[in-house]
Amino acid sequence: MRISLVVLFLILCPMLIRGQDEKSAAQKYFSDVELVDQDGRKLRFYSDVLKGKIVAINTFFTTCTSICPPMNRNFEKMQEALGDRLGKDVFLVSISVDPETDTPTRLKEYGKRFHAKPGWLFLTGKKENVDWALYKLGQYVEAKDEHTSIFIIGNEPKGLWKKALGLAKADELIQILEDVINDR
Amino acid sequence: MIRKLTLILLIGIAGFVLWSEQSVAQSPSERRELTSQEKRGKAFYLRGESASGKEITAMMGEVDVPATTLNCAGCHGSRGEGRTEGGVTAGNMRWAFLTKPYGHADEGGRKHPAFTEASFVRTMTSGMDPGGNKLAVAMPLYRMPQEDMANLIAYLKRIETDTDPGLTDTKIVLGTVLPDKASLNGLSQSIGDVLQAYFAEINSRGGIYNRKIELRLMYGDSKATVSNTRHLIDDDQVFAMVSGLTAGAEDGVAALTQEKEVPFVGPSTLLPQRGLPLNRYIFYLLPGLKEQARALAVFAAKKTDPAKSRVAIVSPDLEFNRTIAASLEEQAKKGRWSSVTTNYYSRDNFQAVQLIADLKQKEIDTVFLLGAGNEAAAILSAAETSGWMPSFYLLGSLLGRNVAGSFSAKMKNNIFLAFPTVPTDVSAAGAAEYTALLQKNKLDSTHAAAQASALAAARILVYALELCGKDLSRERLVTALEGLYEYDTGLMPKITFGPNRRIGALGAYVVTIDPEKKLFPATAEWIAVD
Repeated sequence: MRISLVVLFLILCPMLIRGQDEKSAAQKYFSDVELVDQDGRKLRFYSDVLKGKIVAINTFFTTCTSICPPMNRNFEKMQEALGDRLGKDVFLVSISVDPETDTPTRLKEYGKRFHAKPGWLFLTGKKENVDWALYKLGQYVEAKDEHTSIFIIGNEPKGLWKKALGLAKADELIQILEDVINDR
Repeated sequence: MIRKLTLILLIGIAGFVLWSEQSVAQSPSERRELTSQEKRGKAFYLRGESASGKEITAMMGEVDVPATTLNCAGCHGSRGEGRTEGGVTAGNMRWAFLTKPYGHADEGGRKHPAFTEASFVRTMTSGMDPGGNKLAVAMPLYRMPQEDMANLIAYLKRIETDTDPGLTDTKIVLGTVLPDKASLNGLSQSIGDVLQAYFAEINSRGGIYNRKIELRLMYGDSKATVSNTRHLIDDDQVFAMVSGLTAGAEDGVAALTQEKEVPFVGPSTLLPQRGLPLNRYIFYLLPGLKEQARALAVFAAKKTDPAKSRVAIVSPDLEFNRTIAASLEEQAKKGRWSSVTTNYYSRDNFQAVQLIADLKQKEIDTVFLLGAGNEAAAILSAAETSGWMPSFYLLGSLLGRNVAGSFSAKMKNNIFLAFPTVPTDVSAAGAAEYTALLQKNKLDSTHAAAQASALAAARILVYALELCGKDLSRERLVTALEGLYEYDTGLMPKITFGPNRRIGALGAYVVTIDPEKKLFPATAEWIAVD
């Protein structure tokens, strides 16, 4: 009996090790294109932004005067509701659809308007990288004005992803976020 | 009988056609000023400002937001044209459209009868359109006094024909501020003349989409620069500013253009403003001294090993020079230079020989000199006398005319100067156009460099105005200018602007000079900075 356990362990061991080495399906799907946040930090899209986290993602651009401000106002409300949880296991992620205009400095300035705290990432980067990340989220658009008003709220470890209308009432959005946090 | 009737009908139609043509011809092409009520309505439409001075609240979902952050123009467009973003369509707000007698059917299938003033007010405050349908979620509700609502409606009736100041169907008014005609050996006069001549040339070819350019010039000493600019904007109602000399009043002029949202192409200055948030309205053509200093640093870093090199910045102890030294230090940090010291000297107690002895003792190999021509000359000659030969980097614009006279041929390979532009920037076509303009208008070329840069600014502005098409506005002009990429004026380095870039030629030429052969420049390399 003991021997068979050891044998089983020996058989499983290489599999476990190989499993760690190999990229997960999510990592393969999302990829690790390099993005840059409002503090100029370089972040890998999957490994640094999504992996092991609960995220609410929206797309916007800083020179937008119409739907981006109310959408990000909703993010601000969600930030308030998250309290201490923001930046630990829950993150807000706003990805610019106009990366050439939206430099990290501009994003930093923009974030101040919404009292963004650490844990709310504003992302830009090389246009092709940002485009790829957006494409993987189903949010790539040809022209910046065409970006959607959809929030993508996901629990990466659990593989649960939901979409919500970004212009909905903040309370409803917070409820969806709580549901995703609790894997419901 | 039938023929007679047909004839009468034909005459009638002809008469109608004639009458309507006449009415078109009589329609005023001049811009009518907004009434004070319309102006107040515009302030609400564009900025969410109430005539009462109190804050108006916009209700978005259950959130109260000041109307100043959720103004009408943000979604419906600055001219009320309506826009779609993120799948949300903000409708056309022009009164003629809102009151179309057959009502509206939206893309989403929502139908409602035409708006009236009363139903418009109800819609804004209750969120229900005249057909009793709920408005899209993105449309906030506004709690606002009746007076503001009346002002807004008055403006919506007028919004379609409310163009920016200085703009009519037949003209574009531009402004330029220059120093006193009597000062600077006629410099102002020759800049003003060449600008007038150039715009006259454009007008003689039909103008820009049938609009003639009218240039208003104001002359005065540097104390009057800001008030002259204000006069051009407020009283002369210029559409945009072009070129000119605003030395000593740059900050005031820049602040004014930002406040009044007036595009300004090609202001002359040694220190362009680059701080954030960006002043969207100012477009500098050439690099300032800080950018040139940084180009020198980038160039120097290629010539030496930043890890081993010992660098000294030598500058007069003046506020103006200190800001240049600071940007050099910043660039040195970016270039990972390990040893950088900054030496400030007092102009009253300036001793070149002592200074050189100190630098030599510290085994400096790279020296940035930020002094004026006489100081630089003294330092270079002291270095030569002591037989010590590091690399010297200088800003050509600070040295005055006699640059080559400051050093001997022995030092020519160790001295590098930054310039915003070099003679080879002037292309054959650019030179030909300039010369033809002078000849045709019998102007002299005493101030050729200043004239060329004024002309370059005017060319860029005209090009951008043409890109805008007939539907011109200040906002469209700013966007067109932001889109310029390597535009060649034929008179200076190629000009590129962008959403975050307001210096057209961002970098500098680093040149060497051969004093023996009197070669300027002997070599020249354009160094771009960011």
